[in-house]
Amino acid sequence: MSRTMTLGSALRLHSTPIVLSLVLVLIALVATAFHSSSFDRTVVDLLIRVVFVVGLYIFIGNSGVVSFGHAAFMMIGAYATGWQDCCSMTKSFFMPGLPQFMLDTTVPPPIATFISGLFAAFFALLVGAAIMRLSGIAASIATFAMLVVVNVVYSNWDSVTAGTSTMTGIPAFTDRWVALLVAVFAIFVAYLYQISRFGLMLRTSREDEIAAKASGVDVIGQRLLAFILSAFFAGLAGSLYAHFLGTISVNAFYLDLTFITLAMLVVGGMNSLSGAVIGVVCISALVEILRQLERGIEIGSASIALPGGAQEIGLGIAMVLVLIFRQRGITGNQEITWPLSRAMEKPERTRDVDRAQTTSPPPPASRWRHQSKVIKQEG
Amino acid sequence: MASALQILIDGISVGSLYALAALGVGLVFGVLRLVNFAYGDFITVGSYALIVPSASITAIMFIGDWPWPLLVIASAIIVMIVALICDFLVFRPLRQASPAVLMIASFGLSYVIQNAIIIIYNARPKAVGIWPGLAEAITVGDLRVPGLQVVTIVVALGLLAALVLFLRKSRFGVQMRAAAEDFQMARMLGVQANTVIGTAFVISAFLAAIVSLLFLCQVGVVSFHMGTQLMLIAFIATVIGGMGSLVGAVVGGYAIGIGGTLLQVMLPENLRYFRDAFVFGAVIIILLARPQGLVVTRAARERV
Amino acid sequence: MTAAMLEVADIHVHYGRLAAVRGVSLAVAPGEIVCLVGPNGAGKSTTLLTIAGVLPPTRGTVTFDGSAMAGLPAEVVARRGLSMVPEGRRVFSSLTVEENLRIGTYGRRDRQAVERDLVRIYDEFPVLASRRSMRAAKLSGGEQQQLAIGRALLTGAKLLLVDEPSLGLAPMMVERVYDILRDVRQKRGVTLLIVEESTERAVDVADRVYVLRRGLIELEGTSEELADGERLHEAYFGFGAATASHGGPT
Repeated sequence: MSRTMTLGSALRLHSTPIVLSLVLVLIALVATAFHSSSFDRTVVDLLIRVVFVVGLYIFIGNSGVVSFGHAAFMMIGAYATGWQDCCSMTKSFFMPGLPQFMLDTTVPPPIATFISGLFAAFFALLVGAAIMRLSGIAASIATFAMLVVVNVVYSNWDSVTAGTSTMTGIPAFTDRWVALLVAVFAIFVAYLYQISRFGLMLRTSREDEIAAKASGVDVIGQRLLAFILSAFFAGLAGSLYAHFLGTISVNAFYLDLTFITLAMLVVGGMNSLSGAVIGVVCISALVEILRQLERGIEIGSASIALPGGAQEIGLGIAMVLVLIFRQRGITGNQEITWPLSRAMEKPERTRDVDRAQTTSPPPPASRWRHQSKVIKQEG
Repeated sequence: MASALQILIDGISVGSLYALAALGVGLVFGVLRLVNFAYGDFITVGSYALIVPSASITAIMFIGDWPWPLLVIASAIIVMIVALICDFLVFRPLRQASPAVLMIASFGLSYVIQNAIIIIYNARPKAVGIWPGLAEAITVGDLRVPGLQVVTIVVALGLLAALVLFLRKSRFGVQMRAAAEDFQMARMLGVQANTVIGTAFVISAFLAAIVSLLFLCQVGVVSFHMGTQLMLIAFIATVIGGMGSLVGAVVGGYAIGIGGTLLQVMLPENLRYFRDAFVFGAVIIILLARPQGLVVTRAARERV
Repeated sequence: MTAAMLEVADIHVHYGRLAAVRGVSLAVAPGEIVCLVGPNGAGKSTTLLTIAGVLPPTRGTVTFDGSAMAGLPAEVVARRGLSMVPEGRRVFSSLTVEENLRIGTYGRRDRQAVERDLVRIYDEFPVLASRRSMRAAKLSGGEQQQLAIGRALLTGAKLLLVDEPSLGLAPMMVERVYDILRDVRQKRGVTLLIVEESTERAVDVADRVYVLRRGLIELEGTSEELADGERLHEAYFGFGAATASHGGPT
């Protein structure tokens, strides 16, 4: 019996990213078989969303802090891409405010994508250094504020971003295989992060911040690390998106995107990587169905159609219902493994007795409090 | 060239609006630990309540034509009803949920309400004019101040005073303060959870309606996202003021109002559009120095 | 044999997957003082919180004055006459002493009775009377304990659940607090279920004592029976035959 793990058991232990990747490969293959350009577009969109939502999960799932601002990172990545490889002929016309060296250079798309991710990560470092010090709720508010501010800046800084009009002429680099590659990359990085000690340390703070700090975990630092890593992938997603559509505009990266990606993560299961991926797949499917219904389907000689806007409302209601009735999402915050036995179980509370205003569970924590009270209050 | 005093009054007027909004946010947060993303939509509803629900391009006034006391009351009642329905349908089932889940749920709720407004009223902003008389300036000596600003300040101070009285003297106010500090203990003494929470929502909704009407008077246009900006500022005000502190929320609101107005005046012309970015930057600096907020009360315990 | 005022039958209480209380049954007769003792982590506070309606039991029943209580929300339980003086007192520090006292009175219909009661509390706790407009945060530990007891009494409680009243207090204050609790039973006829860590104090003040250990009742008896302390200590620390029947942790 060798002391190292056999390949088989290693694969079984870490089957989650493999399974998830295979699911995506399957979807990509189906798209290939279909030969429908609109289906292809849907699939590429889905894969880009996977990159983004996995990035979102890296932060939210591990830290327990909700971020409403990641769409800003996607926008930063998208525009960074535009600055690097867009429309070399007309760049100086549309974006005269860019520094000369940027106007003169055109970066090959793959490198541009990577740099865009780094740029978004750098921005996350700057903002995160300040806001990760806030309590979880305040930090969430701050991420929302960040989204609005970045939106305002990009909308108004016409000379650099072409303002509220679209930036066109970005080379088409993203096809389904490129998107698939980056999505698989994201999944593996997210997985490696969550089983690494950094991920574990951060997750302890998610369960009990005070206990984590008492155990020596640098909660602020770990949150920042996750924030930066997640922003990197959000930036990559933005870049892929830019290379996919060829045109970008500021309002594509605002509240609608924030809501739908958050819904994907919530419905799938906020605290698991599988939840992120499954959530994207399921919600994308749901949106497609609702979109078809809005267009109208024919039953016999009549055609019925949902009113415009039903899609959004349906999605919103779905998300709220999931939160009320199945807070842990489709995956129940468990990871998908092969075989389907729960090799990677994440213990979750079966009943959220410990909510914000409830007494914390009795000793030893309360014993601690008492002792400090004995010292403080004599008589 | 506006005089310094005029700029100050401008800032206080804007700050008053923000302070009222921040109170609306802070009251519900204090009692429920809920950061209510739908609060912006409560504000929006307050103005949309004035027009006939129709998708037409121009607004057809309904309640908007009523005499002002009735208008205010009707708008407030409609927002209160919406708020209570939201509590009943979404927040009550989530009483045991963590603040993070509550926040996401309110975000989803906000999305639903906004899109419902889009479906009912159509997505385009519509011109809605109320109380045109307030646009006229009142002259006091050298000062010419728009009537609306004076009204805003007076209304805000009046409501603040009323709220202080309510919280101190009335039985509901005392129960709310107790619940905000230690909800479970209050319940163990017989304080009814749903009554206290309902009261918080009702007051919060009332403030939202007032803020909405004052804001509408200023901009003259209703749009489905009109409350979002105000709500965000209200959130930030509570954060820099110190979460869980009503005094902090008010201080934060005035700080942003006055600070933002001063920035607007001091910034060179081409940077004026980025005033919000500068305000955000200033907020970040404040928070770097004091992440717990400007006003720290003993009761401001917060659980992530 | 007087009918029990409070009857707890086989309750199990879980925090997530952790079983804090694993089948506890106890009874308190009207006018009795009963003590629940046990080591740290035994589940004493959890038991009280469950009786108070704060935690729902996963199994078992709680009957008070003949009515079923398990699963009812805390405010309903309080309004039926079962009030809690919690561990650490938990006075509302931003409210005044008088506001604290009045907090539990809003459910009572008879406002004149409330005012009379308030006067009586000020009589019995003169220290509170002298500080009535002071914010509760400024009170000392002993004064806060008196406030917590007075506050609970003002809900019109027939039975008080008192969780570790001696915690954080100097010995002289502890004596005073227990004197007050004895008075409460004597003069007002209020029944008391007290959680106490010290077996000596428990035997001193209570009519009957239950020993709780690891979520189960180890021993029950009158304070005369347990006065020598030997059986108490055995049950408390888990020596002797009692341990053999325990399984491991959850």
